[in-house]
Amino acid sequence: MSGALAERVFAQKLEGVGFDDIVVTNRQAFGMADAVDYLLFTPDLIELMERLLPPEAKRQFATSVTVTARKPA
Amino acid sequence: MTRDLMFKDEIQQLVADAYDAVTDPDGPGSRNYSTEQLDRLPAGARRWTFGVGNPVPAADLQPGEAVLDLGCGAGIDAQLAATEVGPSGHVTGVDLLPAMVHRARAFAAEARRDNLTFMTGEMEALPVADETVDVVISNGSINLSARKSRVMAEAFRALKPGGRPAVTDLTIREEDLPAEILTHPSAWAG
Repeated sequence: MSGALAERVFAQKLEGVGFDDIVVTNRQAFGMADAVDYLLFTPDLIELMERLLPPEAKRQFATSVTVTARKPA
Repeated sequence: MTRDLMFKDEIQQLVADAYDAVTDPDGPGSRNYSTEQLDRLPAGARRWTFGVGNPVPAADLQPGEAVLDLGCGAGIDAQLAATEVGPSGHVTGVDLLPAMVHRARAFAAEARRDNLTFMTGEMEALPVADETVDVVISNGSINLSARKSRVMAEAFRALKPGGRPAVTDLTIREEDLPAEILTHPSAWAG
């Protein structure tokens, strides 16, 4: 999560290395319930997030996006 | 403990430690797949999925295509891609963690798929030749890299002209997350 980019920056980086036709085909909310299930968030991080995140961010603090693009022919 | 600036090796070790600590997952990423997709997979592959989406349908894979899966983990997306490209196609999965590559190979053997190859390697230095791949997929892995532009440049290098990436990844708005959370070491793997 710390390494996650903003959607706009993610697309800009794809464009920056040469891809075109960049399209976001799907967006899906990712929140605290997901973080707990994924097991990769340590208990102290979960506790920190529970303490610091406002309710709306607990419901969604990240977005999973699927992006397609094309390397020019 | 919070640390802001971290180096690539340190981040890779944090990610490796986080995955090593997981011993008995129940498929947290399996929610992203259809029942039809999950039914094609060995139970172990379904349990060891940590992806954050379902990139294979977006890839619009065709029979005979060569696919590269970046950060393949235990290989669930690679296996699904292998069914789409069929016996005339091929899927190569690359993952940093030898334990995950070992699992991916075991699950592929269990499913009796012979159009799959898994390799230990870095997304930032892919062990594949230039312009040999039709499609690059990835699921929740690019955000784990400290050098994302390098990962994308490597995908571009590996793809044939006209080739396409179909990648799923977490995105955030930094202003939505307090610095104490973003700089927590385990937030890299989580």
